[in-house]
Amino acid sequence: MEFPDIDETIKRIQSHRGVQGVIIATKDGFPIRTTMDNTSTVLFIANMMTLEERAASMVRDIEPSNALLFMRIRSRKFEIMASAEDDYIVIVIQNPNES
Amino acid sequence: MSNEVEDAIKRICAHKGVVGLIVINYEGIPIKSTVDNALSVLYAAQVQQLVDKSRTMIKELDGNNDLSFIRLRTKKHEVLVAPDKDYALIVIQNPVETSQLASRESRRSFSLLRIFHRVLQPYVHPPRAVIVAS
Repeated sequence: MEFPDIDETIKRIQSHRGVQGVIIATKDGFPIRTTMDNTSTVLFIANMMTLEERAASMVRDIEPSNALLFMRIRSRKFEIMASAEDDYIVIVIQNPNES
Repeated sequence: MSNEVEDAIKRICAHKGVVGLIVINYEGIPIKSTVDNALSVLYAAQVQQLVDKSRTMIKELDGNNDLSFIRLRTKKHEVLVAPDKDYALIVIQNPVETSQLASRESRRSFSLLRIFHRVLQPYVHPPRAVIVAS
């Protein structure tokens, strides 16, 4: 499938200093676009989907009218940013020390 | 609680946009909070689970790595969590757009945690006394 806007956006994100990977997946966890190898992609998607669900339900439990828009998990070696809206999940992995 | 800790907490709370601050211990009990008790306990329980899950995930991906910060952007607020071995600092603020302010916020959280470590170390494994200051 050709979607020039998506590919351009991915290239733009990827060109940021420190960005190690960009993954776009469906709500079911199937990768649509990825700049990483298959193993890492699947691993990141699986983990982030669980975490994103946990964080989203945390936000809803605290305040039912609120909703999670974006989450960032920062560790010593990398920072994972995930956004899950509508039908897709976008995950970006970057080196937190370089940005 | 010592002056150093109180000052640090005041400093963070005085920051523009900060709505609330909660410190939870390793059991997920709020030991310091600037929001009401019910909300503190709610945040504490939820955040502790999230921190545990995140930490597990990070360790699974790389055994030498460790969780250092969590930031959740919601429609109404932004929730910042600075986790530590023995406690976690939760700050609720109105969303801030600039990234400079964001990194300052992170550094503040870390400096507060370091102060907590130094000051509260003797109290970390106390008999079950829950102190929730208003």
